[in-house]
Amino acid sequence: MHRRRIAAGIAALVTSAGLALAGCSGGGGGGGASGDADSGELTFVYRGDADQQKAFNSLFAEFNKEHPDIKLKAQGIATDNWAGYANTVATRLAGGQKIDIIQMATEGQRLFASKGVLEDLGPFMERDQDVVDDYFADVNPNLKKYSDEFASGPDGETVFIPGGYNTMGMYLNRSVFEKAGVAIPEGGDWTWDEFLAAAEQIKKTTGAYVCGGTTGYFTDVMPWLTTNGASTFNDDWSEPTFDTPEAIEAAEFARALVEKGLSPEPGGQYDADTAYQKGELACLSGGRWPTISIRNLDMVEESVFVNWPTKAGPGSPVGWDAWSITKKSGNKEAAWTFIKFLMSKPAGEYFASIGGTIIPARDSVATSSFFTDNAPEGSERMSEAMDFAIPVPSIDRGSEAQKAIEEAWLAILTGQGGAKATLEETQKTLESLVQSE
Amino acid sequence: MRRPAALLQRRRADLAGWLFVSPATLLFLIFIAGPFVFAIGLALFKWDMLTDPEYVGLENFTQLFADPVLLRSLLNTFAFAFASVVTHIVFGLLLAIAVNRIANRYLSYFLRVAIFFPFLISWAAVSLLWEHVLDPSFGYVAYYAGLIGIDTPNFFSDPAWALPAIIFVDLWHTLGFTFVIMLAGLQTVSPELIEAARTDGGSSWQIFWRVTLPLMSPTLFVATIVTFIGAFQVFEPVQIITNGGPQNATKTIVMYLYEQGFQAFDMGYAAAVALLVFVIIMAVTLLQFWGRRKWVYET
Amino acid sequence: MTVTMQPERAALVDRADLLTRVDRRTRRRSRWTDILLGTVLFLFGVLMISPLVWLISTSLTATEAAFGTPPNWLPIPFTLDAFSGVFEYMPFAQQFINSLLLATISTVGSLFFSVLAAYGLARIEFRGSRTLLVLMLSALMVPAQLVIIPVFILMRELGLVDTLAALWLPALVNVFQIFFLTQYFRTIPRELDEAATLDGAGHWWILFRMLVPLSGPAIAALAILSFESSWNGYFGPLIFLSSPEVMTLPLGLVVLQSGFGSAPAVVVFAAITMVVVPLLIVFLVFQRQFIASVASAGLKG
Repeated sequence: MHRRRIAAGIAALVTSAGLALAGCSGGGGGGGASGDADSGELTFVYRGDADQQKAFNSLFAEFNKEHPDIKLKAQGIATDNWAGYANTVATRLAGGQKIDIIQMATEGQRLFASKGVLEDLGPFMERDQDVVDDYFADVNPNLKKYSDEFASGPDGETVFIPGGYNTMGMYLNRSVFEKAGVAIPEGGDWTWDEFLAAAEQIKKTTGAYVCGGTTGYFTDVMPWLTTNGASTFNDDWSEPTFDTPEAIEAAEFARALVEKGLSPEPGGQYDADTAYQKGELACLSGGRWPTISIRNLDMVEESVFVNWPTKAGPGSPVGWDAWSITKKSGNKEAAWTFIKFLMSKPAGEYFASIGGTIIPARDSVATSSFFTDNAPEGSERMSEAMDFAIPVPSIDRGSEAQKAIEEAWLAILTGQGGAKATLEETQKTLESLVQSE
Repeated sequence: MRRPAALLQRRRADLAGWLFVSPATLLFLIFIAGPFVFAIGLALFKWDMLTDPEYVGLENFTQLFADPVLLRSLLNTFAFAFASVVTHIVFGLLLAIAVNRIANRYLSYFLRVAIFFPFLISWAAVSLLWEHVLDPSFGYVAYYAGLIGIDTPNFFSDPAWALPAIIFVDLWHTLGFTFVIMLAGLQTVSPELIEAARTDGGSSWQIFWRVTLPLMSPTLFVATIVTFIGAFQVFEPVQIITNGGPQNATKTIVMYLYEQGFQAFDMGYAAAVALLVFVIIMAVTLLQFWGRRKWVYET
Repeated sequence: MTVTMQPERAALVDRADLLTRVDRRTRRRSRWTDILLGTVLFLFGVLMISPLVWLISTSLTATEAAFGTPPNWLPIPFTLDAFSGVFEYMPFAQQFINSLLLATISTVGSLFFSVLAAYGLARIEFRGSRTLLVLMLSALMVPAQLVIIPVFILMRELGLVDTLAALWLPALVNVFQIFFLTQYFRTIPRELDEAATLDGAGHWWILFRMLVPLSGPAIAALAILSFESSWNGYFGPLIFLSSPEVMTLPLGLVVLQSGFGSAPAVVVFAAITMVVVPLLIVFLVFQRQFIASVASAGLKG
């Protein structure tokens, strides 16, 4: 009797102490400090592989030239996709790591915005209104609109400054198309049927594949959906729309490409870059980032960028990077100084030229030679797509949603599940994820 | 006069004893007992580690029973564990007997090394390697199977084949462990008994069933329990190769726990799932004590 | 506890022979069965090691020819590029050192505390020792995954997330070692202790100058198991470590493969080879001890 009471007492004590500690340091409570605008240490996380880390490090060196007293500790996190990146950053924050600035793409912005761990940037923006206005005047108005609508904090405050973005299109291998006798689409526009015909012709005459067989949410699912007027969620992301007839049609089309042997088999270790170089793959899909690979492969002249084939109309997802300051940052002023630098035109130009894998937010830079130099013909189409692109729907529980969507697409492409049945089932999963918010 | 001295002696011995065990005991309290208790408490909350925890009482536990993905994970895990045990014990025993009979020193040595070495390689390396070996386009399994007319499936993308594929990889990886245990167990079967049985006219088969197996029952039993508990907690190949897919076909209970804790950031629920794992392992361990008395032949 | 067949120490030494002992106790069988069995087993052995042969060969093959069809079993054309590539994609040397540090500290630390505890439990019959032992043994049923979330929170409070300390600190308590050593110590005759005490030896001397040296094989076996477990650990590093410079090799390998813009497959293979080949060499040198430790641990189970 006696012993059991003691045991229970200790149990309660341990648990409550632990959770009190947890509540204290974990929560969305204050903490953090303003610090000095021009000195101190800043820790900045971003998503980047080895190549991108090189580009970012150059950019940071440029920043340090102007602000030698701010020490930037940049941590590039290399993950498969934005969902994985968002999870990693959240785990690090939960693990108590000191992070001042977080770069986050659309896919993960709601995850963080809704948690209340990001600083309200409103006061900073008001103070430097001229810098902010100058920036947004040069940015496609849709970008600001989407950022405000979708990436605001729990009380509607601005927590993200949008940066560069990506839309989706295709890079075509000129010589493969020539060999097959297929013309590069005029003005960069073509339809699903024309794409299918081109793929069949290319396969017949050269044996090369066309792009497809991959299952990324942004890179594969959304382009096919949007070019048929469909999307994973509705306009305000409150309801999933993954099982509409248009969506099913899109999934079936993607499946057909695999079934007919026109695209590589999904789910393996296919090295697209090497195949593109060898002429075994006729196109690479992507936004700006394949340009860097194409430069490395020395195929800039060989390649031309065109829009994604359309069915119901032009379509593309847009996903944008954004920068935020954490509430618990100990150096918010310096962090804001850094963000202002990222917004500046020279920074945008520099980053575009050294191999940034995003389309610069500033239109003036995206259409300038900084961007189009050493880039395939047609690269300006990437920023033009902003006119019809829709933001890639990313709900609060974004990483789980992304996982469900990608798994469904894989099942459909491999023929494991019929398009209709699989999409309907995933629709239910997405509904439960949205409801729990 | 003697009593106080003896008592003092006893007290000093006690003190000495506690002193020796105190570091380990302290560590035990901090890193095992304390967390265990804390996890029980944590399971009563909903917490994502970034915002404040929210008390939800037994909701996490009721959710356990209503969660179809959890059910699927449990089924997958039990299926995996049973398959693992059966394949490991059967192959381990057969190989041990077979290898035991090889007269050639070099062959015997080669076999023991070949079978045992994979066990020492980390699961991470093994998973990455086999992901390529079983790749439908670049792996050699698909190629050679194709040569003899078998069209291998895309193992890790096919819901019907993904879990069997992982069972197979697990077999390659850990068969060495069971093999060595079985070898050790075989060596304890006294040759005189075998000889005696043989002179009594027993055939190899009868000897195997009536003499070898019963004498090996402690070994078999231990191997079964250890393999089961280990297999039940399988995580690495699932997280590294298939990530629980395709369509939850390979989602094991620990994988699900990881997802809930570090991808959905629902720590309380993850703790509840972990407690379920504990209960199951405890049940199996208690079963061991009971079963040992019933099935194991002790000398 | 059940009756074991042989005294612990002798058993350990015996098991070391598992590798080389050939069973000559069988009667004459037809030579054909022998040859058939031998052939089948040989083929089986070849199949077992085929993934490793493919691994090493592919790592040494030039990218264009690697992973080709039909599969290359010989590294032609030969290149070491993939290996230099490894160093470009991941901080291999640093991660190797991390793994080494983690495994060494975990092993030495845990053995030290376990030896102390085992002495207290086995040699000094103090009040509460039995209860303590039972309590600790029940901990063997507690899976690591249950404990890891609270430990993560603890490490967060201590500011140790993303450090190796988060991994080796919890590893310092190893209940299996404590149990194993307690049992082992109990098999060493108490007369030795008593003799030493008469000569004026204290606890410390008895433990470290007598019991520990006499427990050589057991401690070696436990050391191998602990080292292997830390070296190959993945779950703990996955949860706690996020910076590549702090990662251990298993985690580093997976990040190499799955990171954004991930390394080409040959580079991943080269990295795996760089982990497997040294391990193979260590194994071939210390095989008796490896096999003995696994055998005794398993049978203790």
